This record gives sequence, structure tokens and C-alpha cells, in this order.
Amino acid sequence: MKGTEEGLLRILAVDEDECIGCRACSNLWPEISAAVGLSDRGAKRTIRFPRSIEEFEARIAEGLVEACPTGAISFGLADELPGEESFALTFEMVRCRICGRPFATKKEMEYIRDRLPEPVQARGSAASWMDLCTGCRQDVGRNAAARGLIVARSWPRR
Amino acid sequence: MEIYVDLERCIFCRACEVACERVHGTSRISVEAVKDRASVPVACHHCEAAPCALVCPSGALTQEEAEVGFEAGKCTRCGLCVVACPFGAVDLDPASMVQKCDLCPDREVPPCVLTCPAEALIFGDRFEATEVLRRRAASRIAQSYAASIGRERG
Repeated sequence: MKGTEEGLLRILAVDEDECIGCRACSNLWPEISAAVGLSDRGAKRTIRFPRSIEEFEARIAEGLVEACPTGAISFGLADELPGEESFALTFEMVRCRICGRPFATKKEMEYIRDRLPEPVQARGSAASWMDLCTGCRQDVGRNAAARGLIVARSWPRR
Repeated sequence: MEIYVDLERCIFCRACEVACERVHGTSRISVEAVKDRASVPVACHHCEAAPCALVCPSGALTQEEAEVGFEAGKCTRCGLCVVACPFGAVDLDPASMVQKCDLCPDREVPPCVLTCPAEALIFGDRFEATEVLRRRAASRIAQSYAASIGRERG
């Protein structure tokens, strides 16, 4: 098993309060995607993290820490593997107000809301675009853009 | 420079999607019909205060005046830009990189614009685009006016 030069293992820890349930860690590299498992079921997203895996060499540990947008991931060193091989965090998801599909975790939307100026949050559809999934945002935009054209093309033919 | 759409001219042929896919592997523009009477292409709007760039934690998406650039090497594929785009114009499927129009910086004119047989896509700044749209609108009015005079004279 790989570890530090002193033969210690890198043990992964995730700060549950900071983690927003995005896909950065699970999508970073193919070898990580296999280890960090993300699954969306119903209106819940579950991310399962390994405590320590063979592939946790320095490069990957640093990469994970750097990729996490909220600094929720850290690594500690230990002589031996902890009792549990993995642990999971579960996130509540937001459902699209039009089609009902869960499209993001509540904490992802809070993270985004905190970073946008207010007028941007309100822009778009009548209800906030932030309540809609990406597909319905496209549809709402299309309908609004085509409204005038559809009226003009709906006149009876002469 | 940006890509503007003249909706009057879009004929729902989806040639822009094919052109984009040819260049990027996945199309970053998507055309759908609305009530069988209009069709609307949707791609990155290159917003002035772009939410995708404001939330991007790794600096892969950047705001450069009127353009939103994307540097694939910096992207962690966290997917926050996808849910931060008010227009649903950013894509990330599990197997790929973030897909967003980058205006093809290595080309003089983006292939979607070159390919559009109806000249519905206009590449330019907003002044150039509005000039084209105004000229076309004026010409439509002139045509219908001429036609109505023709009818009156029988």
C-alpha cells in the first residue's frame, strides 16, 4: 500500500458543514471517480468517500484538497487503516419548479446565491431561474424569445 | 464579439449544432422548436456579470470584457457553473468536460455562423448585430408596404 515515505497512510477527512455536495472530487480524475462514489436517488445525493485507498499518493491528495471549492477535504496521517473503509454524506436536492426533477443540492444553490449580485438572481423567468433545472431554464428562455414571433406568425393568412 | 440570433430567419435545420459538434466533439448550441411556429438556438450569452464565472472556484471560467472564456486545464468539473447559468447554456455530462461556447478564439468566424444557411446567426459586437437586424426589419416593412400598395392598385 502506498503512503508517505515514512510508511504512514493518508487518511481522508471531509468537513460535513463545509461540503456542498458538488461533483469536484468525484469528477477530478478517473481513478478518483472510481473511489469517490456519487449517486443521485430521488431528491437525495449521496457521496461515498473512502478513508484511505492505495491511490492516495501525494499528487492525488493534493489534487483533491485543491479541487474542493469549499476547503472541506483534508488529509491526516495514520499508521494503520481506520475501522471503517468508507463513509457517506447525504445531501438534500432542490426540485425544478416546472418539471420536478432534482437538479442540484440545496447547499450548491446556497453557495451560488452567496456569490451572485441580487439583480442577477432575479433575472430571467417570472419565478427565479434559480428554482428551475437547466432544461426548463432553456425552455422558459426560448418561449420568451419566440413569443412575439409566434403572435406575428399566427395571423390568419390573407 | 458575440453570436447574435435573428429569430425571424432561423429555420430549425440544426446545421449550427452539426458544425459545432464537428469542431468540439459535442455541440454547445442547441436549437428547439417553439409551438411549431418558431425555433430558437440557445448558446452561451457571454453575460456581462457572468454567474458561471462568478461561481467558478478554480478560475477555469473567466470574464474578459464581453466574453466568457473557458480554460479546460483548470476545470475540476465540479458542475457549479451548470447550475449557475440562468439560461441553461452550460453542459457537463459525467464523461466529459464542461461544454460551453468559447466563440472559437482560434478562428476568424465560428463555424456555426459560417454554416448557418439562413444567415440567422450574426457574429459581431452588439452595434454590428443591431445594424444588421435593423436593416432586415426595415426591409421587411418596406416589402409589406410595397405589397399593400400593389393590392390597393389591384
